[in-house]
Amino acid sequence: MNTNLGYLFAIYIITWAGFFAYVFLVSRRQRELERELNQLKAMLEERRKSTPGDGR
Amino acid sequence: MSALGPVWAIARKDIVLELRNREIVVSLLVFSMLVLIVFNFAVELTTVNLAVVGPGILWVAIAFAGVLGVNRTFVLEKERDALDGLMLAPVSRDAMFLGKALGSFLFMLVAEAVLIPVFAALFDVSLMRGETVVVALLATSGFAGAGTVFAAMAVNTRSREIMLPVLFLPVVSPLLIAAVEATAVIADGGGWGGLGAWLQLLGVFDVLFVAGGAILFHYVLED
Amino acid sequence: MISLRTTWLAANAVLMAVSLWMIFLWAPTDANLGTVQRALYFHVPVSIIAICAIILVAIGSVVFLATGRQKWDWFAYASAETGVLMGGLALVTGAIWGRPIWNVWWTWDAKLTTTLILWFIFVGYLMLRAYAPPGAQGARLAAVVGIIGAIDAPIIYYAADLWRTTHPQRVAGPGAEGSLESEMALTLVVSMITVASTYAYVLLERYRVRRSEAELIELSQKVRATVAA
Repeated sequence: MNTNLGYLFAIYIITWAGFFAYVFLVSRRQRELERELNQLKAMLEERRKSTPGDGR
Repeated sequence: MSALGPVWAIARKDIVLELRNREIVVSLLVFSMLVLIVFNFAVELTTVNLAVVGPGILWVAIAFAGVLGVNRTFVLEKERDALDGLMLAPVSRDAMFLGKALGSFLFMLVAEAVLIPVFAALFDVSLMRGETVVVALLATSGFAGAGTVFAAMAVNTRSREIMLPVLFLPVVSPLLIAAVEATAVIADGGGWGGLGAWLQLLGVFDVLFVAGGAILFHYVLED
Repeated sequence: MISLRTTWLAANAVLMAVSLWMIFLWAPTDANLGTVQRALYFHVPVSIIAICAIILVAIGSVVFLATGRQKWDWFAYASAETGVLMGGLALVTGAIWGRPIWNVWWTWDAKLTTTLILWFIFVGYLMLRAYAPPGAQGARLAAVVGIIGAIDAPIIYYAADLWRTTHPQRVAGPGAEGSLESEMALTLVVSMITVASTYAYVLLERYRVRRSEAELIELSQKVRATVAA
């Protein structure tokens, strides 16, 4: 009987690949963002420490 | 009714400008006729399928030209920085929407008044009946309404010539389907009976998009 | 919160394993269509979730325009992006599934046509965000598109349906299924839950990324302010 397994396999692989590729991209973006955020927070802290009080 | 005053004022401004330049209507006409001609080469037209394929070609031409036309009504404002002035004017956003849409509607209608007879002649399709006028009126008001909303959006983006058709054409597809099918019924010799469902669809679309456009325009032209 | 996410992720993994077993090993083979019919368990849940995504975008857009609270814009955007993904998967899996069964890659029936057009509308949503000026205005414009898309959806379906009955095609599209046996129905339900849960997780992740991006912009503005001072 012709089971057309090739098509079923294609559907399966595309669905999973699509899902996981997207999840991977999103996670990577989140990690980059968290890194940048921490860098900026550290920068802000340094600025705040090095200028005590309002210099004008 | 004082509510109509500002609507007409805005539309009249665009109309007066257009009477002076004739820029928009001429571009609409030339471009849509070019589309007709290009399609003539693209599609194998025998007498058998003319009546079937013809209406589709007509409304593709009108839709593509309409995208350009409705784009121009906002690009002109943006170029001359008149958009800010318009937004500062003490006019409610729905009046602004209706005024702009009315202008576009009239320009498209004028272009169609020439284009549809030309099409009927070129493609040997009999369309010169009252039913065609009704279909054109209904379809064009939907185009103008939806087109005005998206043109106001697109004019603020980086790639406005791309953004407008990308946003506009999918949304307006029911309108296109209805206009094409209704025109096909007319070309085929059918009367009001065969048109009923399509006219209904056009009417629903028009109501939704003119009303919805007026409401949503507040958010489109906010600052 | 982290442990909740990890638990959810683990639960999703378990769900995936269970539904895969059910789809490929437990569910009976369809008598008429053969093994390839199992594609239904992938295609149908993905399509349903795609439609849900559209509704979510509309809800997020409406609430964002009404309240102006940014998080609803993040929610709408995340729903739009994940919705475009799911819609794309639905279209592709539908086409691949259709080929062996009806011998065509595509048919312009009402459901497929509507899905395709809606997919383009929400691709337009994403393009608009990319090309619009950053900040609140771009978010507002996109929200309008999201709302218009959702309102237009039933009209598009009605028009495509009317058009289809005027020009009937040889091939009946998907949805012309018979009833499902009980094991098949159960497999479909489990698959549906799996896809829905995984989708919700991915949606939440995308939302967080959006939120972090907004935080980043805000924070870098603060840093620039201290430099200027």
